[in-house]
Amino acid sequence: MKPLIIQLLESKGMLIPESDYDELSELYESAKIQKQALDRSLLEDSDIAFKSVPGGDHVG
Amino acid sequence: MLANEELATKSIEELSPLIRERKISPVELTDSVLNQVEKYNKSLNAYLSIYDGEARQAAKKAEEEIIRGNYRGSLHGIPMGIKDNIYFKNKITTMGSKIHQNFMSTYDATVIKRLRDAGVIFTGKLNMHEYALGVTTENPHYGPSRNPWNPNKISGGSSGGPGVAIAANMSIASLGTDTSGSINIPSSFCGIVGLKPTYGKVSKYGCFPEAWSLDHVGPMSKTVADAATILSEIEGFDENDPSSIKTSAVNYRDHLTTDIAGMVIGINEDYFFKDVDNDVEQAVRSAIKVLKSMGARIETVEVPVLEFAEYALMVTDFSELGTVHHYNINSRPLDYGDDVRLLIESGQMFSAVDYLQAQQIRRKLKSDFKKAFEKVDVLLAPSTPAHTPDIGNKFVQINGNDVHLLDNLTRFTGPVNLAGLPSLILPCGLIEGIPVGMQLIGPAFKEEKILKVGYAFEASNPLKGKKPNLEVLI
Repeated sequence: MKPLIIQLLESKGMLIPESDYDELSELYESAKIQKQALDRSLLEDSDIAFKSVPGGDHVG
Repeated sequence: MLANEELATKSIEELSPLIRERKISPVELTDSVLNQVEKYNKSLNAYLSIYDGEARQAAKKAEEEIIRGNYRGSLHGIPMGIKDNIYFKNKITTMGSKIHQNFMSTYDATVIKRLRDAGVIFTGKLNMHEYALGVTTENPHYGPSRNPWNPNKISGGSSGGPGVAIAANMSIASLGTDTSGSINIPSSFCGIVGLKPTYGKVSKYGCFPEAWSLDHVGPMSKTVADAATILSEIEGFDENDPSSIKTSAVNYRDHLTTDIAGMVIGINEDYFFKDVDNDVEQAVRSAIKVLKSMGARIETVEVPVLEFAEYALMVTDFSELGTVHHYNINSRPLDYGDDVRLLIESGQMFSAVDYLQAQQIRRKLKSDFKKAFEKVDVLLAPSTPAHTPDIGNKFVQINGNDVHLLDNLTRFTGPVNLAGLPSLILPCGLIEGIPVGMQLIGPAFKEEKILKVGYAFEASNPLKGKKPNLEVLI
């Protein structure tokens, strides 16, 4: 995972202290698992996937 | 007549009639508050800067105005310290950071202007988690703020300074900012009242952003009535804030009665009572019983998409804060504290699709909450799933298991920010002598409902008159 994080952030021009990569890798891995669950839900729920446009920064 | 040291222990509700009737002077009251600051700030580290001379001058001016018959209202002559990410004209505002340690604003934040116009006496700027990016106020540049109930415990954050200052009578009330629990968590841990209003109700102009679509400004106070009084002064449309929303004024005081018979209180068992510390759960369930005994009806409600709220919150919060700090994280990463730097770096990892999917979840979450509020007046939940941790921990214990501190302390407050709904935190009991808080969540722009239920519950005296023992701190 570590080389992927390095590659990802370097591709965005980020120079990150070496000491931060382990924790960033953990977070990336945890986010990936949560995203997989979300993707499954989005596929099962056409209401979210196809009808709802992104938004949410306004109350209403 | 109240002794000088007693004045600082009082609420706005108790003090303002005495000031109006000239039974006490803003000068005496400000002296009393500044004496508390002098006695306890060294131990508790709530204040980053103290406006001693200016506060006394402003108090003298307020006294003269009141003597001349120009009483401005309930906040006239009330001393407050304010969180250090809210701008004061020509004053240093550090955001609790090294990078902004010498930043001086050229204007007052809208909320400061409104409080100044209402006659508030500003006593200084209060400690916070660096850039509001955390929940402990263990600030690497200015030191941790310490919980007055037990100085080895965190104050909570990011508005830790206001929480500590109010609980230790170093400020009569204050303002905090909240992106995923920053008013609510320190209010809960310090045993005070915190009100996060509906998104757009209170102007954010002149408040340094954490994540602009999640940021809120709101009152922190000793009582529910005080929170209502402050909200009335600071709310209202502001053309300088693009997220500000026009709403009609509500007289919150009219709703503050203990008659809650017939009100419906919703409980969501699947999310808000899952993986909760047993003692915290017991305190909150006891509060539900108290409200039931007052005539409220309890209903179970479902909010299914809460399952994905933590992920949507993380992606939204980290992406937006990663954008706010994008330049500085590249140019001077080592000037940030380690925990804050990691959050900002994390924000650079998510894609546009991740962010937009998070907004889809957010829309669905709002719709689910809206459906729940068709059945109930307010929702009730623990403020945090865990009890107050010790300073210096990255983890917090829930029923014997070590879990990640940041993720878990924001678990019940963050989704409310994601939906932009109002929430009120107030103490509901004590665990090992430290307060535990509960959260009342209301429909958008219906602050009066949570204030009403909170006011009624507060009358049951949940802390049984207990206060932090400040003498041991000297």
